[in-house]
Amino acid sequence: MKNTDKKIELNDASFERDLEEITALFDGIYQKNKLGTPPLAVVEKIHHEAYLHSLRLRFRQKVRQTMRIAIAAAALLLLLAGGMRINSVQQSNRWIEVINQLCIVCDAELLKDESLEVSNAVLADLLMEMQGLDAETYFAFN
Amino acid sequence: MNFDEMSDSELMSAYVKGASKAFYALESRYQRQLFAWLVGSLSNRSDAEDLYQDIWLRIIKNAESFKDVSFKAWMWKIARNRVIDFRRKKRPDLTLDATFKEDDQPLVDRVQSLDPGPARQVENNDLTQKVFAIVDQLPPAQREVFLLRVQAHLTFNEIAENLNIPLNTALGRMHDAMNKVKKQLMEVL
Repeated sequence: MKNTDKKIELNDASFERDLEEITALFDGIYQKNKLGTPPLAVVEKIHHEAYLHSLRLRFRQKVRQTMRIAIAAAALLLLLAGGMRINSVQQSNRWIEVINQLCIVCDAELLKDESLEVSNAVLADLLMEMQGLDAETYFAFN
Repeated sequence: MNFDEMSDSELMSAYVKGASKAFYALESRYQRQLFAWLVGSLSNRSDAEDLYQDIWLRIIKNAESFKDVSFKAWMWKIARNRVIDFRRKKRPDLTLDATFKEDDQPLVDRVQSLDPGPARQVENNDLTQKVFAIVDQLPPAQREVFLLRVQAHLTFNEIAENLNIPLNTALGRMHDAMNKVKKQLMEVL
């Protein structure tokens, strides 16, 4: 018999009817003997395990969430620290520049054998001209 | 949250997010068909209870790895694999020529001497036992399709998908199984 023929035969009304009858018979037997439901203790144990596992899942999720926040915070701190370091390097470079300029001025003025007051005045002028040097720094040096 | 209106996948997803009640709803949705199928497949209620518990524990354990596929197909795959493993482990690795240490009596003799006592005979007269015996006698391939349709109430499409066989093969096996069961039931009833 060809497969197609068999399919047609299987889909006929008698097959459906027999199937319904046998299914009903089995359902009846299962219902009568209470074979369709597991004991309550088994179900409760499964539910208890499911509950414990859900707690574990929730805990894991919280840990993951905390880790994500911690990593983000650490990255932000690293960025800030990096920025501050760059800034401090730039500032120290500026100071080195100022000191170099002062040394050059001092040397030049001493060679000219001028008085200390004159040297100070020249130095003050130079400092005033220098970029990024505020009054506080100026007075500190003066 | 109304779990009854949620799909299987939605329930699994809710469970993975921590809603244990979603899992209870899922378990109760498949309780009858899975347990009935196990009882029919193993012909033993106690083994069915153990395996029922084991199957759901596996589902719980693997809940996080569940992808958005058919939960039903996933569950049946776990259940079938568990039953196959169980049968493999339970099958005694003995021949009929083997002997017991207790009395050195060959197994073949022991099997012949296992006549059912009066209590057992009464039990065997029960309709349930007879029906189970009829189903037990079916060839494994037919029995599998028969149980999945009659006890687990799966559609033929689901059975074919689950057993990885063409739909027509599933229908053919069911047809043959039904004929055998019907014929034997006629004699019994």
